[in-house]
Amino acid sequence: MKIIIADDSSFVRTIVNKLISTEFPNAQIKLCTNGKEAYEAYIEMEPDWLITDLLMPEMSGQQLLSALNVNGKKGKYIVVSADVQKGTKEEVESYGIVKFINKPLNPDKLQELINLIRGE
Amino acid sequence: MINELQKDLLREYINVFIGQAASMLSEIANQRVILSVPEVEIVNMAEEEVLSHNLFSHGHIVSSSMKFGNEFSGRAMLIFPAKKAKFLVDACMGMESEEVLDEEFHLIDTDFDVLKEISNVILNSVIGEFSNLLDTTVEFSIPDVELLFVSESEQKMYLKNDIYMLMLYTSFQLAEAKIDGVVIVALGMNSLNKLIDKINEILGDI
Amino acid sequence: MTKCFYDLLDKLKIGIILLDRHHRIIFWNQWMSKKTEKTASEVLSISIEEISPKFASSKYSSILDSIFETGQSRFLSGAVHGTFFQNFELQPGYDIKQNLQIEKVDEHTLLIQVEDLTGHYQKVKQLRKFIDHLEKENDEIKQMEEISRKIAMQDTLTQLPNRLSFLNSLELKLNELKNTNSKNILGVFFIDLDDLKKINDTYGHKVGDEILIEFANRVSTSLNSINSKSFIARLAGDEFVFYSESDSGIAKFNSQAEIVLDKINLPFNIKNLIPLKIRASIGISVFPYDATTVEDLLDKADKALYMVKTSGKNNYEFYKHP
Repeated sequence: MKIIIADDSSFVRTIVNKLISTEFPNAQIKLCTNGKEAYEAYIEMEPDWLITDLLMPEMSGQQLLSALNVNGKKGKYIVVSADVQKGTKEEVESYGIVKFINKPLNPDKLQELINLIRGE
Repeated sequence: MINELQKDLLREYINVFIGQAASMLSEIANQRVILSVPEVEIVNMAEEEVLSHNLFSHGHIVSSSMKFGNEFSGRAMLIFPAKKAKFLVDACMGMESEEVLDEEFHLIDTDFDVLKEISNVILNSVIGEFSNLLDTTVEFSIPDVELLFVSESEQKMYLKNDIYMLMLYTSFQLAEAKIDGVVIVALGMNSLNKLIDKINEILGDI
Repeated sequence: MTKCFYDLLDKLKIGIILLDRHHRIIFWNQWMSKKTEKTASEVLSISIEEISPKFASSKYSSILDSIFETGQSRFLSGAVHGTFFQNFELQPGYDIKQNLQIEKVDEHTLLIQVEDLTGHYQKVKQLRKFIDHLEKENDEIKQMEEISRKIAMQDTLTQLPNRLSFLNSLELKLNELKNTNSKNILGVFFIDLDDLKKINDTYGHKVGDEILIEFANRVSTSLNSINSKSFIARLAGDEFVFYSESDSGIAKFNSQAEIVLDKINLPFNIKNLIPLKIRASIGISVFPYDATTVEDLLDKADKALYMVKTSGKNNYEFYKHP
């Protein structure tokens, strides 16, 4: 299984990476620090899952998802963000995401993330 | 004062706090608000440190300030350029703004009321959430809002009474306006240590 | 002692409301009663949503709940949220300025302070309106003064500068030449149209005016095109004057006078009439040879003009010392 994690915070990348590596030891994980990196990685890797933040430099999460849509890339996207506004949620949902998880990431939310990937 | 990893964690938490503030602001303004905190710094005012940029914009500023207390205590301030204050107020009241010339502020009493509410929302989020993070209760009140002129050299003096300042350089975007401001959380040594201890605790858990 | 405090709360110039966890009113001070025309006994135990419809919306109802939960105080500005409590003491149509400050007192009690400065705010607004009005009037007066000034300096018919304007300008020019010790000389040309009276009598003043306008155009255009550092004005009736600066002696003035006469001698094509011809006389005085002051220069130019008029007209003459 291939997974891309995109977030400009090394703290978040570390936590999510650690969690996923523990739960899915055979997963191939790519860490990206901004939307542009994530986009390029996506084209190259064709991952099963993309876990992304919204507010990132170079290319935001919204721009990333939009670009992927435009390029006909169908994949499973999970958005993890501190932006809790309704308008943001609606905009992002229009790109066809699986789930929008609000930061901060607490144990419950992390469990939810794992469950989604497991397909439960 | 703190290393990159600690800074990163702090910034991540602050983004969440500010995200909530943005959400509340957007309800007030009835429009999307993008609030970001691109930079976080901890400054020790006792040492004349060189900062990545000016403490805050000098010139005419709107400054909202409130003390907070108990186990985690200090002073919290929200500062942004007075020129932009009018944009912010108009956006919150759903009015079109005109370009404001340098010398004109035209902030009337109701504008100050709106600024008070905006600062109240933002500072509540930040301080309230800090206290949650630290598992303590913090008491604080509605901030006082002032319009001041602070020259470049006076910036440091304005903050002189406080030793450690947690500078959260924020950027608000509503409608067409982009407003750069700073939230300053001034902490005494004890409170700062509490914060750093908590950060280390969380990092330790990873 | 408690009664004392309640009395005090009733004396405050702000509204004091206490709510319980279910948003029901447990205290309502006299200020609130006066403004809303609802007495305490009428509202006690009623939920605030029933008294103030705004609170019924989930937005505000949830604000009350979150204050209980988080203990954080909230300031709601009237400018953003509008009016919470109808104020019956005021005229309708006033811009309301009513702010609310809500905080948690303890686990069971919420305090709302209502500040209503509408009356004061109304006065401030009126004062502001008055000041704006004065500023506008001031601007209008300035504009009128500007227009008057222009009228005072300009000949209406030909749009050329008038006598006043010319005298001012000549004065400035002479000062400039004197102060800079310039080697340049200045010619003052009086132009008198010879046949204008006859034309007015024969064809009427309208035609005469058209000729004046056309004449003014011709001369000022040709002066501009020579780049003669000149200034032309209409003095009165059929009298015109211009001055011209020369850095190459009197010869320039000769050619200028000839050009002007040529322009005048070209037929004037007024609608529906045969082309009309007019003649002019020009008298010239020169600074600094003939005179050095405005009055004196004009006087000498006038005398030179007289010479032309009395010796055949349609010509130009320089002032000659007797």
